Amino acid sequence: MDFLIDFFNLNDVQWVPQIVNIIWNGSLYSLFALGYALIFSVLGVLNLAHSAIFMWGAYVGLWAVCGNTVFDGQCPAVDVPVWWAIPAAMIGGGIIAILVDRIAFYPLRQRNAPRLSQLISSIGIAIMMVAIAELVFGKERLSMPLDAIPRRNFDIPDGLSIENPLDIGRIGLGMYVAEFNILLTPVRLQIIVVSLILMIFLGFIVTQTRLGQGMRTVAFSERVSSLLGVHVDNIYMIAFFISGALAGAAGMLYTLNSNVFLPSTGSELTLKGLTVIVLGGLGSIRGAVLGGYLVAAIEVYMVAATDYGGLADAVVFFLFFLVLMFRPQGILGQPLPDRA
Amino acid sequence: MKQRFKIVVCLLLIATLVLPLSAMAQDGGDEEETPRMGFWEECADPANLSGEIPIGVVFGLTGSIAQYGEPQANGVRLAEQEINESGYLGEEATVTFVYEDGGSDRETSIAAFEKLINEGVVAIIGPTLSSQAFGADPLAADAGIPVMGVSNTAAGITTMTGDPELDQFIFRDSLPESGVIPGTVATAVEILGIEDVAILYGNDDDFTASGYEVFVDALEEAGVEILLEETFSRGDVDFSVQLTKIIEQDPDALVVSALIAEAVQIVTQARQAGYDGPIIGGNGFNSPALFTDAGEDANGVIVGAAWNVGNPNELSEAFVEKYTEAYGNPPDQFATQSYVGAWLMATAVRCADSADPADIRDALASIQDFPSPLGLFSFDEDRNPVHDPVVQIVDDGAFAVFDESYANYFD
Amino acid sequence: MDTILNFFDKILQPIFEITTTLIQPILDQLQVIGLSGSVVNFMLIAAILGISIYFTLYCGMFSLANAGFMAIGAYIGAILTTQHDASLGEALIWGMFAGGLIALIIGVPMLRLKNIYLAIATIGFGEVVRILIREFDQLMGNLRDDPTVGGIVRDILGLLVEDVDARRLRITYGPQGITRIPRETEVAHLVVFLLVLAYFLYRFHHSRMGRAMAAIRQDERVAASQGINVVYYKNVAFFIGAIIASAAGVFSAHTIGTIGPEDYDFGRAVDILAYAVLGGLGSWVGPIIGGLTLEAMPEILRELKEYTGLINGLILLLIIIYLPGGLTSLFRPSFWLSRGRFDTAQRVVTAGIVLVAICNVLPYRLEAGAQGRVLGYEVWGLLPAFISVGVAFFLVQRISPKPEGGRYSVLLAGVAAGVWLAFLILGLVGQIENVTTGYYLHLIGMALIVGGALISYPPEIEAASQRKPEVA
Repeated sequence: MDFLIDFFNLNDVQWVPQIVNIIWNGSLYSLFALGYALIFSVLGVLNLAHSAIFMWGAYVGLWAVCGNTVFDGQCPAVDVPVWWAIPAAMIGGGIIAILVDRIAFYPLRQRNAPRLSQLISSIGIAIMMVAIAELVFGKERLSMPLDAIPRRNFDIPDGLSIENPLDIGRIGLGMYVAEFNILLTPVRLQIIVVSLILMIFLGFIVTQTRLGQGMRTVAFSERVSSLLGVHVDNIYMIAFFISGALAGAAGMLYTLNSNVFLPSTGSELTLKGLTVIVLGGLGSIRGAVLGGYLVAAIEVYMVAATDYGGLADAVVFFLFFLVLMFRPQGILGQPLPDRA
Repeated sequence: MKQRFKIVVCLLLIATLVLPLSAMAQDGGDEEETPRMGFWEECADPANLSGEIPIGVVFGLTGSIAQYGEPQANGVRLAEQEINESGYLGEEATVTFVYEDGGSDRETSIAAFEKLINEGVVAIIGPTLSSQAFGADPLAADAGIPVMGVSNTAAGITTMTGDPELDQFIFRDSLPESGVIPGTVATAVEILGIEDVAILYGNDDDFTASGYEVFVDALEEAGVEILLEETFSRGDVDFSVQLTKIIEQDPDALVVSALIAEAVQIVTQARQAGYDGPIIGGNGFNSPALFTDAGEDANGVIVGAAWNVGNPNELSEAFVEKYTEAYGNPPDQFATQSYVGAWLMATAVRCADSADPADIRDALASIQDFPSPLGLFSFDEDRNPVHDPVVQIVDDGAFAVFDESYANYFD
Repeated sequence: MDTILNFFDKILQPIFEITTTLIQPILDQLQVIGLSGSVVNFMLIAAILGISIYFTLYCGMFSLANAGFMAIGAYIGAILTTQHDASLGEALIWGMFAGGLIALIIGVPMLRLKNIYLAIATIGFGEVVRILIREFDQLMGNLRDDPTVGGIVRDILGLLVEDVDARRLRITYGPQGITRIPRETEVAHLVVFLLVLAYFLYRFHHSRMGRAMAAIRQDERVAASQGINVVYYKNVAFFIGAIIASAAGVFSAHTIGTIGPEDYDFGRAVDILAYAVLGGLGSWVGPIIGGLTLEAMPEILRELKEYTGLINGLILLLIIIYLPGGLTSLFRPSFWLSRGRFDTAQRVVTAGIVLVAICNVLPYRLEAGAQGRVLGYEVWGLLPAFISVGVAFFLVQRISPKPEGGRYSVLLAGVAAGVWLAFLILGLVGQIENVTTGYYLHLIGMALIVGGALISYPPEIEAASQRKPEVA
């Protein structure tokens, strides 16, 4: 252990809080990349509109808790519990993703167009979605009122006692947070918990249910699965819905943390999501999860332990390059026949 | 679901029908006794002007840049309305600002400048970013049209071509970072006795990166040790990694060069992480969003800026009121500087009493002590702005003048 | 070196002068529709970039690395002209040399990848280049002060910049980018360069190399079994693409006068791809047309202001869905004559008209309250066309089964276009001007057209016999 700490220059790093940072950043990346990876594994296309769905999910969630004032570019009050925004964003994101599929992918799929065309049509619709969001929600930043989101770091509130079993957990958490200087707000904890639940849920669907079997069959071969009686169109629709719902959830959690809603939100995640699914394994669900934490770990390491924080992205891309070179299926991906 | 969709479609159609009507329904509001902008006395009422005088306005109105470009355009719109309603250019003439989207890249701004120059505007305001200014301003200078940046703070904007004949057409009314930051740092060091700091800056943006360099120079000048420097990228929303590292070093102050979107996040997360010392920011911090989005976390932020919403200046207060009434939210520094820029251009037209670009340039260059929300405004010989920057501290949700009384604020 | 350059100067100068004279009438025409000065340069540069990616696509490789090569060319060129007083010609040669060198180095390992994997790896390459350029000064500044490698780094940096020991190293100027680059690129330079490229492409198609690359695109394994050196030709295609992109980078840097790392981000890579794909990969004319059109479009549509993004995205989407062969397929008789294309043609007409309608209605709506009139007579000229075409689609789709319906609707659309033209002329001579009714009619017409388009959606699968394998 000492050797490792020396080697990675960890002596100078406060590594407990940084590991928490890795976990929550990684959860967010993974959640975003899961939907990306799902579409890639089922359809074999990169859906570059995923970040636009992410952004729209966040706006839909905001609309759900804030009401119609968001169309005037304002959110003066949140009357309902702010967490309602997450299911709303998931449903909104899911529906929008289905629309994206119908408009940008379906006609090309019908024509058996090359994957390259589908990549470009996804870019086209992403540009449109951002432009529409600018028209609908305005170009200036929207935020929820300050008191809507619990933003304080966890601490030990007054009036707790060890006798109350429920309080013990809060005291323990507060003590840890204070002891190790961890930056952990309720929203961040929420991101970690919700992401884990959704990841497990998706894993369950893909591996344990008939639907998941159907998806894997379609991913293997569209023709074979239609011969086997799988309703391919339905599978595509459900895959897009799930992917959009994950994007919506990620978008909502992301914006709950930052409390900044902008039409350009998420554009910086398009490429990051790509690195995540490549490092983990193109088209592998577990790979996307691993990749998310890996990318977060590299970024945190570069910033926390070296003087070259600005090169974090370059290092991620360089690694990504190496992975593609020597193990194109990624860390957890299965060797695939020529895809795409 | 289908029913809902139909309703939405109907509503949208109705909205398209109603919108133009509601736009027409805006009324001017009644005039109140407010201090007047402009050189009403200094320059005689123009006699030779007539018709619409076109002045180009190039701001980034689409994409992520729009959150800065839109308030800028609003500032000019407000000025346009005031100038024309008050008959500033005489009975016969009005000023018409021609708005073009400069996008967020250089090419779009250049194209916008060329279009405006071809259309025969007499002057241009913009573009939003310094990087765009370096690309586009020389075109205006080549055509002999005065151009004024209202948000370009990078070093060397007004001497960008290196040719005095061309440079003389390039103005700006936005104080460069080097006009604001050294004073801020010196004041903060003097009052708070800061010995070491940590710097956090955006390294992929010319505004924040040049702000960082000015900060470093100013800190060295003041004899302050820089413990560590951390970076982030435009659009980042999480700074916990950098902040964790910074707080561990326990600096006396945190120096941040960021635009407002990131600044709010940095301030909030620094406070969440338990840092309660001073945070020193530059022009980028200067937006009402600092209070509205960071709330009490913003307390203890020291901002040096060309202007801010709490400026104790009659014209500034009147402007804040009018702007808030017109657009629903208080103006930020971008809106104020563009508002002043539009007034300066109109003043140059009035004082030149001519719609000839060369005359307007000469009139613009000779503007001295123009009363504005920014204070008494003048151009120096390099056509950079001269007015007093403000060093203020956020105290209890409002800007307050940062003076000796805050020496023990952080204890 | 100098003598060679002087020699070239002597030959090229008259050529540039003649070209300038020849293209002047065209430039005058372009100015009328709002394309002037630098915009023409940007269009020509886009065409060059389209060609640069055409090479890799022609060889069946899906590479998005060209934005990175453009950055390399632009930075090398700009450093030479700003810090070493080089001429544009020298900058061009060294920029292309640097781009080509790097293409050779990374090509061998990277081109083993195929399809989407290659695309992703090249995206990664572009990002690494961009970030390294941004961090170059700081990184080199630190390495320069390093005791072990400092000496070598100093020597290398000495080639690029005079003041190696400056407190802050200034080579790429970090995120601020390089300014004061001489604006030396003239339209004539670009036209001549483009013509040379076009000639090269024209010859290339009939050359041994061109046929080999086409074979690799069709089927790599078969090509290899025919004795074609797949690895060699792939690298050659990648190399040619890289040096052309580098040249475009040098030209664009010397058009704009200032460059920064963010000019060469992922968005640029996508733009370059779009030039080639939207223009059409069927022939070498495609990327040129695609580049010219796509770069001109935002300027022509500038009046739409905040709707530009919407329209640009929509056009991208519509072309990729309805015109799989790209814009150039419109020029082929087979496109209009073959039976199976009728459905497509119908949809293109639909899409085009919806587009025109949106173009006209939205800005009108936007400023109707403020000014009453924006676009002028052409808006009113278009009105009857929208309505007649909308009604036509509606009726045809209702009364006749496909595919005959498609054929008739094209016919009707043609008639409607004639009507529109007539009204346009009437409008231009000032016969129609009624604001309020025009506005409502506009809306009705648009609703009808959109309705018609929706009914014909989604596109049917074309008959298998009509389907040809698409490029890439």
